[in-house]
Amino acid sequence: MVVTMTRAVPSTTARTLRLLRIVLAVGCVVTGGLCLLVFSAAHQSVHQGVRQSAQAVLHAEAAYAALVDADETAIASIQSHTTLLGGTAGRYDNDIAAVHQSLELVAEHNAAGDAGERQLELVDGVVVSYTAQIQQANADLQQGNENLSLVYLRNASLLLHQEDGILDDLATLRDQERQALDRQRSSVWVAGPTTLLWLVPLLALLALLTGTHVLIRRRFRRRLSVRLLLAAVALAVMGIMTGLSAVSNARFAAAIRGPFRDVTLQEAREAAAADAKGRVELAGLISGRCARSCSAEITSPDFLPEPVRAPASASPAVDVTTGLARFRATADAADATATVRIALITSMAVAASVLIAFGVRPRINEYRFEGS
Amino acid sequence: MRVGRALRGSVAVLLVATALSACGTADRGSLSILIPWTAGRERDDFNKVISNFTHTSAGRGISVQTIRTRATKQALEAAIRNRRPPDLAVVPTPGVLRDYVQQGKVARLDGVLDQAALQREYGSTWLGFERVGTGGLYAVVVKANVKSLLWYNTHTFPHAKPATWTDLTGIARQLTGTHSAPWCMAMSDPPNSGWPGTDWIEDILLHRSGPATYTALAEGTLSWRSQQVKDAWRAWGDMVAAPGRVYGGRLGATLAAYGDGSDPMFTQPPGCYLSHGAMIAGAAPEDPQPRTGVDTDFFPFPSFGRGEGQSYEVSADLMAMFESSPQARAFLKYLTGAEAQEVWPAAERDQAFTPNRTDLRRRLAAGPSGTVSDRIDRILTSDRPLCFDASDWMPDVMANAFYRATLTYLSDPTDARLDTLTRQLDAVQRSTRTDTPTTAAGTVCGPAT
Repeated sequence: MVVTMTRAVPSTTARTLRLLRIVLAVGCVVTGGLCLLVFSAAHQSVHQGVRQSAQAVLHAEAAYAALVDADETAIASIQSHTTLLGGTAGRYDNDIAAVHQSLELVAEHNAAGDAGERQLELVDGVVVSYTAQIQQANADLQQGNENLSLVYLRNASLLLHQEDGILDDLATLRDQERQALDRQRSSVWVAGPTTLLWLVPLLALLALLTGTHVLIRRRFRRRLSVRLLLAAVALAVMGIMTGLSAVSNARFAAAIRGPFRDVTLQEAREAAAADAKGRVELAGLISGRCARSCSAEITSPDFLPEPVRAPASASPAVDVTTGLARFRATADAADATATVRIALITSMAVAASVLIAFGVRPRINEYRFEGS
Repeated sequence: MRVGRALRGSVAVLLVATALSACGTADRGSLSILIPWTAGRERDDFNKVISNFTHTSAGRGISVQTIRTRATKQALEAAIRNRRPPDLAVVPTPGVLRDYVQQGKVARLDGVLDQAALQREYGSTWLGFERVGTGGLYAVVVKANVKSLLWYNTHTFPHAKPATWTDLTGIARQLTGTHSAPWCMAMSDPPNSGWPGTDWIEDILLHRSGPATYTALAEGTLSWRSQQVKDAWRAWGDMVAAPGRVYGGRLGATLAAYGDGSDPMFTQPPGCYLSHGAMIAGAAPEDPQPRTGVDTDFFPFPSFGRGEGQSYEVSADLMAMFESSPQARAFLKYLTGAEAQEVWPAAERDQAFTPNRTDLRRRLAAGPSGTVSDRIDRILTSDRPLCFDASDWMPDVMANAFYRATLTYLSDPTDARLDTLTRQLDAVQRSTRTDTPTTAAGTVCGPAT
């Protein structure tokens, strides 16, 4: 009798399963990390955009409008010999308080870094200089020195309007903050196809998971692997959570295109209107006192450099307070709390990885003693 | 052995990489400079100084950020309050700088710059100005101006150049009542409106009472109510008080922008004939610029005929170091050199000057004699006393009160107003006297050579 000893050939299925288990488990962790990165970065950009840069722009715009209004108020009060300055009506005082408060808020929300901080210091300093001139004009008026009062009033207005004057400095500050906002809006995490890059490995992972499931069903005649199915669900949840960043990005863009733009436009329009009024009033005041001797360069409303201009737009006028409330609401929605979502993405990635590892394991174990 | 070789190899690669980066245009840090030149040629000229500096071996790779504002005092104050001063700043006045010296906010430059070279290049008087009345060196000159000059339109001024104050008042009287006013005057230059008036008072005091009296007022040891000072105010008042003496009237003068002050001199017919100050302020850029030396010329501030020699009031833009850094020190060293000092006078011929002797000698040797810039360069190298602008030298509070007083007096040039003003100025002087740090006596005025 001849006994033929044959050595069993190791199955390729076991090797394939082991490989799939490693690729899928590691893939879940890596894709989870990528989703986490995309979501966090997008959230960070939106958060900085709505909570910092946009706020800084809004406050800089508010400071600008308040300063122009303060100037017009001061001119009107001196023209009419009223006691608006320091009096109970206090519109000028309110405007100046609003300027200082707005500048503090710009400092708090500054997104323009070192350049922004330096520009703020500059504006802080020159606003003090402006108010000193107005106070002197008011003091002279109260002492009956009407001509001197006019000199200081005009000096103050010049400080505000002259080339590289206070309004130019404020506009530079606002533009610096706006540039920071634009950078955040155009960040690779917030705009463009890069925001969907996470989707590629996730879909690949789901496809591979489906393939694994099919393989197990064919080789082991198991209709359903609950653990693998749960892993697929976990991956889907992870994808949905990450996909929510696209919703935040869209809301962020809508907030900037909508109420943010409306408010800044309205502030600019109000500033331009106050500026135009103040120019005419000041020119009238000077002409009234100095019509015969002063040159046309002094009495003309054009003695001040370029007038304040609002951007050309057909948009209807809005109420600033209402517009700000709308912006806050949209911004809050865009910048919803991210902690729960981050926790969900992390836990889903880990769960999927573990479920896959333990889901494939029993099938691999079936081959454990095959070669011995 | 293998590990050792690998380690040695890594070190070699690192060294080569470091050396290569040092040879290239490596980032050598940044430098922030606060400047008052916000537009026009002055800003461009300073940018040229910076550009030249960054092409030197000391400045290559240094990123220079300029912070531009006319309100340098307020901007500097805010930056210092926030503990973020610029590395360097063109200080508004020596008086303001002295306050910062007293507060310990500004770096001393004695150890930074070569004192012997400075002495050689600038002389004791300008070195004294750079010490701003303290015991140490705290600033360097960016550019200089001679102020005691009276400018006129060569095509329209109908008189011989006056040699004395009496001649000048005679000319002013003759010109009054014609269709034009004798004086072009403009006081508005916010936030320091009124300073052109202080130059008038200072020049009259200097030429009437001499450098010693001038120095005493600048240093706060002479009362504003002293006869000499009050006479200086009255002399100015007499010159400008009568109707028709000032183009646009006295209110027009207080409202007119300093930069446009001389424009009426070039209209047809001329609005005015004479202008006091360091330069003919430029006309509007779109207008044809009057050519200095062709369309305009100057004569020195006239004497009061008391046998005193000619003195000149000068001013300078001074740069100080608020944050010491290798970049800031390198820039200051460069700025004191002849190469940097020649940028302004070359770019703004007849408008900006340097006290640097190498440059002055070079310009005097190379340029044609008798031109405006040649004559001003000769003032800066003569043996006549140069006195730093007194209001600039005073403590800031005093200077501000002086600016305001000139505006007030120009509005109402009466003796009663003058009594009130000088009493108020004396009160301010008393309040600042205790704040003023020890002044190195004799530094306000000194011979040019």
